[in-house]
This record gives sequence, C-alpha cells and structure tokens, in this order.
Amino acid sequence: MDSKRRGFLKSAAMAAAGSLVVGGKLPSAVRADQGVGELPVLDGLTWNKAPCRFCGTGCHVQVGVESGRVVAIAGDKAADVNKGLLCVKGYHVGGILYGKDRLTKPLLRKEGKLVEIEWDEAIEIIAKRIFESPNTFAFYGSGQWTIPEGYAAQKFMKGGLGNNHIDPNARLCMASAVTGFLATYGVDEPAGCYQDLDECDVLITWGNNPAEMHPVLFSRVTDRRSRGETVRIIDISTRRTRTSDAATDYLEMQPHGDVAISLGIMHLLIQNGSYDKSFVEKHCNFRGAEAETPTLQGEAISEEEFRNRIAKYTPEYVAELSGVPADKIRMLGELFGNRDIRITSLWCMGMNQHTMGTAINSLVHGVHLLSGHFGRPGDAPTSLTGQPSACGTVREVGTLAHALPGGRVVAKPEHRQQCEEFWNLKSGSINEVPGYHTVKMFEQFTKPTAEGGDITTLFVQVTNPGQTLPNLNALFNSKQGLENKFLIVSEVYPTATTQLADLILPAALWVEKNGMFGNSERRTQQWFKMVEPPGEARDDCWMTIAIAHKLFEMGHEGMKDKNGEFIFSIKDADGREIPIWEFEHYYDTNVDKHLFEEYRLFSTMKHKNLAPYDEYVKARGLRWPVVQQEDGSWRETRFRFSEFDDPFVTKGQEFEFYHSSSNDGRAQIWFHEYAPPPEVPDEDYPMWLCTGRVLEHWHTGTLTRRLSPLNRAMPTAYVEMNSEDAKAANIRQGERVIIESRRGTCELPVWIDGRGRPPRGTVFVPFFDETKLINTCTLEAHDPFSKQPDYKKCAVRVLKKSEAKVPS
Amino acid sequence: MTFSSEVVEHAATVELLRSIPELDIGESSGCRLAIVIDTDSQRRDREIWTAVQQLPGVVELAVAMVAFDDDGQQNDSQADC
Repeated sequence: MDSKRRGFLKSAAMAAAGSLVVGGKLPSAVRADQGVGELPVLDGLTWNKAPCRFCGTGCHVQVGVESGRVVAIAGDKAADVNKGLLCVKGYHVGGILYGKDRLTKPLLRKEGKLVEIEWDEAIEIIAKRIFESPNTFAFYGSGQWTIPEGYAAQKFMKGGLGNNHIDPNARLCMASAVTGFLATYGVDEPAGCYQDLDECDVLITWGNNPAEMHPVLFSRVTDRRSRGETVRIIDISTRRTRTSDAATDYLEMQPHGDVAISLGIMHLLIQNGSYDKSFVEKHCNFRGAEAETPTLQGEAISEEEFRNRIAKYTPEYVAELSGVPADKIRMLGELFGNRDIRITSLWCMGMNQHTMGTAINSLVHGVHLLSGHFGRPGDAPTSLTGQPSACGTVREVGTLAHALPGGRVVAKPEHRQQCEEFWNLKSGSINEVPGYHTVKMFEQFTKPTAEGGDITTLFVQVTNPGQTLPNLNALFNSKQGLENKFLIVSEVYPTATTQLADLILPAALWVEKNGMFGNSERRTQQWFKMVEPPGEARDDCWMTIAIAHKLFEMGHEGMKDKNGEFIFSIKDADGREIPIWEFEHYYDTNVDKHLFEEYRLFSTMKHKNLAPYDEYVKARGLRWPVVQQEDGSWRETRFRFSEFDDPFVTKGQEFEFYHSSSNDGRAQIWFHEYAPPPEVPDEDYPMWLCTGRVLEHWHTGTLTRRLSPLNRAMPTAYVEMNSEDAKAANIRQGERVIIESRRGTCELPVWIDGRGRPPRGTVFVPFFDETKLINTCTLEAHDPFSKQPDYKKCAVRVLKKSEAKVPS
Repeated sequence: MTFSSEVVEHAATVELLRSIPELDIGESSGCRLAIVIDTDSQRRDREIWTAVQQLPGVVELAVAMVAFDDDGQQNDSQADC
C-alpha cells in the first residue's frame, strides 16, 4: 500500500472512530442515506452497503472497493441493526474473499483424482444425471443461500422436477424454532424485534451465549448498562460462558433442564394466580399433545386440565429435574408474575438443537403468553438465527422438504394449486409427498442403493455437511466406496465436504454477486455485486438456472411452463429472451430482481408482505410485513400481532394472532411433559458432550479459518474440561485426549477452566475446526416434529491417549 | 476505547498508549477515546490489541473501521480437496 493511500485510510479510520466517540449515545433511528457521506473519499475508492456474510444478526457493513478489490470494511452507521458497530468477525469480513486456496475451476474426480473441466461439461454431467433419474436427485442448501438463490432452487426442484428432496442445513440449526412458532402462533418467526433488547428490564438467555455468537446484539444490552441503565441478565445454561460473566444471575441447569424450568415457571404463575388472566382469556387457548400420533396442531385442553397437568411441576420437583435450586425457580416465577417490568427471552441453538426442541420452544412462548409478557416493546420471546438468511431464504422462501414459498406446504392440494398458478405450471406438477429432511436425506444418500438408499445424486450448495452433520461416520463418511453415489459440491474453498465430492463447482461469494438476505428480526436486506469472483467461480443461482436450462434443452417437460417456455425465462423490453443460463449474459439483467419480484407475490399469503426490490436498494433492510401507505411509501412492522404497530390487527383488538391454528385469533399455550434426553451418561460413557461455536470463527470455519487474525486468535478446536474432572483423570492443561462416543472419536487438546467453564461431568467442544471433527461423536437423534438433531447432549468418555484403544 | 470512567481520570493509561509508536490518539468524550492502530504485520496488530485491552481502566474496545493490505490474508486452512 503506498504511503499516501495508507495515510489517507489512517485519517479515515480516525474520523470513523472519532464519530463513534463524539456521537455518544448512538442514534435510535437512522435514515437510509445517513452515514455514507462520512466515509473516506478517495479517487478510485467506492463504498457500497451490504449485510455482513456471517451470522443472522444482519449487521450492515460499508464495503470499500478499489481497483476491483475489497480493501476496507466499516460498520454502517445508517444501519439500525448495528448503528456502525461490528464484531471481530464482521470487521474482517472483506478478507473472506481472498484466501489463497479459492476454488476457481470446476473439478471432476476421475480415478480418484480431481481434474479440471470446463463449465459446460460440468453442467452437462449434472443435467444428464438428473434427466436419467430425476426422483433420486436431492438438493441440499443452507441459510447462506441468498433469497433469490433459494427461491430458484425451490422452483427448480418442486416446480420443475416435481421432486421435494430439497432441504437446508438450517434444519440443523433452527427448525425447532419454526415448529415452536407454528405450534404457538400458527405462523413462523418472531413477533418482536431487536428494539426489545433496548427496552427490556430483564433479559433471559436460555442456553444461549450471545456475548460470543451475537456480540453486536448483546452489546445493545451491555451498552445500556454502561450508560447507567439497570438491565438484569439471567443466564440459564449448562456451562459458564462469556454471557454468564455479564449476567446478574447464572442458573446452571442439567441438560433438558430448560423444559422443567419453563414448566416450573408456568406452575408458579398458575398456583400464585399471578398469570395475566385478562390477556389469557382474550387471546390464548390451552393445548396439549395428542395421546396417539402427536401433531403440531395438538388438541385443545381446558384451563382446568392445564392446571392439573402442570400441578406436579413444583419448584422442588423442577429443581430435581433441572438442577436449578427451587428458590431460583421461584425467583423466575416472581419476575414473570410482575407486569410492571418487561422481560425478553433469547435463545438459539441451545433450545433448537434439542430432542424436545419444538416442546421447549412452545413452552417458553407459553411462559410469555401466560404471564402477559408479550407484545409490548421489551416483552418478547425471541429466537435468534446463526446464518445470515436462515429466516429470509429458508423460513420465508420455504426451502424445507415439506414447504413451498409463502408459508404454503406441499401436502395441501390448495397450496400446491396456488403455487402452480403462480409459477404458471401444469396442474399436478408439484409432488404432494414431503421430501427427505436432512438426516433422512443423508441416510438415503450414504446407504447402498441395494439396501434402499434411493438418493443417488446429491447437489450441495453453500454449506459444509461433511463437518456439520451429526454422527458423521454414519451420515457422511460412509459415502466412500459407493460408486453409484455422486456428490456435487458448490463451494468457495476446499472443505470436509469437498473431500468426498465427485464434482466440485467454484462459487462466487458474498459481494462477488448480487444478493438478498433475511435476518433474525424479519429484516429483508439487499446488496449489489461489487467485485468479480476469481477465476471461473460463478453464482450459485446461475448454476441452478444453467442446469435447469440444460434439462429444458434435453426435453425435460418440467422445465417448461404451461406455455412451453423455460420456467426461468426473463425477457427484455422488446420481448426477447435474455440467455441468463449463459454466464456471460447472466448480468445482462438483474436476475435477483426478477426472481424477487416473482417471489414476493407469495409473501402476502401469510401476511409477510414484502416491498418491491427497489425499496430494499434504498434501505438498510425492511422488516416485514412491509405495507404500502396511502402516500405511496412503504412502512415496515416492528411488532407483529400488536395493534399499535401491526397493520393487520383488527382495530380494537389490542392483540390478534391472525394465523391462529385454532382459527379464532388466539395463540396456543402448550403443555408438554418433561422427558429425559435420549442418551445420558452411564458407566461406559460417563460425561455429557456439548458442542457449539466460538467468537472468532463462524460455523465450520470455511471462511474465518482463512482470516489470519481470527485463526491466530483461535487456531484449534479444544475440549473444555472442569478442573476437578481433569484432576481426577490425571489430565493436564493442553494434554491431547481422545473424546469417544458410541459413534466415533476425536482427538483434542484440553483447556481446563478456559473461556467456558463446564460443570463436573460435562465437556464442551467447538465444531469450527475441520482437522478435529467432533461431529463424529454426536448423535443424530432428533426432535419428532422439526427433525432437528440434538448436538448439545450425548454421552462420551475422555481418554488419555495412552488409554485409548481406538487411534484417532 | 471505553474506560470504566471519564477518560481524564485515566491519565496514566493514556500515557502508556502514547508510548506505543503504531498507535495514534484521537478525540475523547466522556469515557470514550478514539485510537487508530497502524502496523506492518497482523501479529503486531494482535499484540497491540491484546495489550490495550489489558491496560488499567479499559473496559471495551470496539472497531469502527478496518483497512488491509493486498497481501494481508493468509490461508491457514489445512483442508484439502
């Protein structure tokens, strides 16, 4: 970097830092065009907005581009989500594009070796395999798909192929949140927004560590404290974390203790008569699971029946089940019984990766509904997401095996018909049978065809299942040696998944393409392509369209609409088709805009209304439902179901759950009986294993492991151990040990009383490190409704290397 | 940088900051102080970050902007196709 430019950027950095300092309290509302003018101006340097590529918080960054390369990142002061702040990962996000080992050419495995091939050949190979056996093809994506990418994949599979075997990795991270919302409100996604963090008196983190996983959101609360406000943070967790360090109260629970605790709070609200009788009478029903074949609908139960069922969950019984002392359960009961304070609950993987995931999500919603801590700013049950578009792409576009866009499902004939009409497809094009969920999809892919494994070709985009699936030996590694199973992986870097890939497609990443994300607070965000991808890396959305067009050329009927036109046809102003399936023409038009405008027609069907694409170009995201006003402007919604803010609530109702599963405008307060985890420590495997993430790395580390500052700060996975457990086993700090479960082993260095501090009998291992795959040990047991596996609890033993029978 | 109290009450720490050659001190307001770190290596950057974090009275560091060299990104991954 030349000295003039270096000096300039230095002064720009000082200006940016100075504005944060002098600004004092950050603005509570910002205009879309605010802040940009404060960024440095330099010949050849341009700035543009984009949401961060990492977690589901949805921070906006300003991306500085010079000579076709991202050279600077600044927090976007115009963004309401982060108000100019970024976390340690966010301010390094530009570097994810420039790892030395970017994939730049399609690679085909021939006789065990990867050889470079041309794109045309790669697309033809995929199309032929699908054409020959369309029903044994599956598509696996993620919450990192942009909204248009996920929508195109969804339309290609369910509309074009009539094949519902499409599922995202979000199945592994927030499917239980979806089923919890559906069971309670009849419609998915949080009612509140991040403003709840600015207004709550009490923040309860349920098995959640936002201090590391959502640091910008957590800083909204700690920043309030630094300004002298009192915010009580109650951390309910199975191990001490950085969130516990900031908490007023730390309640250490046993695995599955959250279920008992929520039942205990409801018991106290009922017993003490401190529940919100008026709110419950006007706006809630009681619900229980059916005795035979439980469903998400459940069955209606009376308040009396609810009282009877909850009666046994006394503080003492809950203490026995959860490990949290009875007086702490009473403390929680008293807090929820106090309507003068405002309480926000936050959760993420702890409650979602849970074999009772749907139940615990529903129960925590129930605690808030029963107590009336709902629908006022600061009173909210709120789930967070780990991926940038788990909400936007997975939950809203509906890229799950049972779903269609707009909250439609494949199992309902009227939903299929609506969708076919929107897509101008022949009646009957969409298959009525839900496809395979993630665990089932990989079981069917890794099982020999002769034994019933009926998925033979699997296309993976924007995710790394070779590292994230539970029980990796069974669900992924067993693909090795199965010659008729063909794995296609679109990726930006080599990963654990590409190691077994038969065909690797180099993908464009983040600002190398246009995109749209949807964050955890229903905020839809947009950005434009800013730099060219390296080599021959290309957009994932283009790959899907190119494969679809190849099938169209081959005569696949599903790739034609009712008029015989290509299902992704885009025409110019003169009515001529733009050949977007040819990459050199892909950016002749804004494909994202065309797809989004088509997709947003679905969004009104569940009151998740989206604005036109151009409105998102102007804004730092808008929270749906976004409704047009009389003056033509578009208004976002911060608090759903509350009359003061939600335009769909009937005037005079105060609250209205207008997608109620009981069709009466009411939410459901569920009762679920506590059940122990499916695998518990025993004599052979005496320790609990919990897995998770760390501040410095994002998920499997594919991106953050390429960022030297982050990788140096956290270069390796480790096993956190309690010092007493380590002492009893004669294990020293830093010693390498073997973690062994009934499914596999993993060798790791020991960190005693490190960043996280597990209680006796528990170990914790992060999953970001591709050289230490802890998911060889985890369990594929999953929630019966959401099908989401439980990565937070299984039984293991810790062996000194000298004691291990199985070499790692 | 955010201090536990007004910046003026942490004169000794501010003097320590001034002794770091790669660090420039900017405006202050209340308990907040703007600084810029400009180093030739990411290792040094990390060292300064850690040192500043541990200075007396410092409760938080937040980043407003980062710029980096073309050759600043290394691949440390051990994954292989």
